[in-house]
Amino acid sequence: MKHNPEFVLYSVAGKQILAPTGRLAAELNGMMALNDIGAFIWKALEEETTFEQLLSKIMSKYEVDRETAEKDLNKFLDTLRSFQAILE
Amino acid sequence: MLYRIADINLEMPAFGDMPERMFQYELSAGKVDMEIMETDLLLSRWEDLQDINLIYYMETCQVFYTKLLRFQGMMLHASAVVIDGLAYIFSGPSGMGKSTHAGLYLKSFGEKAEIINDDKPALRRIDGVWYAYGTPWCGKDGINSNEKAEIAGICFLRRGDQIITRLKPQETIAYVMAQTHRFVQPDEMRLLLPLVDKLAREVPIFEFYNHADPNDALLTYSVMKDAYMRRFDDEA
Repeated sequence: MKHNPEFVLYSVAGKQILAPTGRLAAELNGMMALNDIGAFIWKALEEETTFEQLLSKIMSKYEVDRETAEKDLNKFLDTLRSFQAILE
Repeated sequence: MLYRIADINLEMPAFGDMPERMFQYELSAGKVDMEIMETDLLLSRWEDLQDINLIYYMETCQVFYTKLLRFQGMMLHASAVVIDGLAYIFSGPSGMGKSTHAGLYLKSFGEKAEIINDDKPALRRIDGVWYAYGTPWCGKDGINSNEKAEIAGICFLRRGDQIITRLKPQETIAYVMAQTHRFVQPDEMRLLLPLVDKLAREVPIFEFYNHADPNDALLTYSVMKDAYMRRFDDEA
């Protein structure tokens, strides 16, 4: 999977803003604010990557046990999917 | 035809009744900074509108403000009033009283106040200073004038009880994004977001709950002017 390049991530006034563009901007009518881990995951999804690769990247950067990381990552990816922000 | 809008020399053919709307922006000669050609227009996206003049107006508006992003400039859905060379910008969703509030400025300040654009002024950052410009894309009432003024502040209007608050930069992002052209392509979004970042940090931005009281203009003017005068205090 990778992230949908129709979204643009940028730090605006200290907040990581994920903005849809084009057709999606009209459809979604809003933006997402990501926290640091969210922005880290988004950047990791720039290249085609697997769930396992993503998980190990997160665990090497943040102090978190595998079970929690897996659960939170799934939740975050589901949120991104609901905004059509992930290309499988 | 050549025009000068927001300090940009624009070359654009005579689309529909646009020349009538744009006569005060005509320029006789000069180097072209921006071109809007027939091939730039995507008229089909307005197919539910019947009036071809209106379609040209909407589409040239969309194209001009999208191209403006390459000149450190953006549209804000707002009414812009100029007093003593400074622009006071009133923005917010439709129905929150932007034009009404701008109208109160004319009542309270008389000839000292001028509305330079009553719907979609251009905002540009030039050498670190933000300016508001009148443009021909100014809404139904047609109120605009070919003028430029440094921005004193921006105020988002809401309905409620006479409370004005200064917003923190990060509180302003959603407000600003909701009132600008954000149906743009990724490359343009990469220009818009950095601009919104600078606007949020550099321009005092307020939120004003109002119910169109005759004294409202005096209130927003004094609060916004004061913030502008003190804008360098925090940095000292």
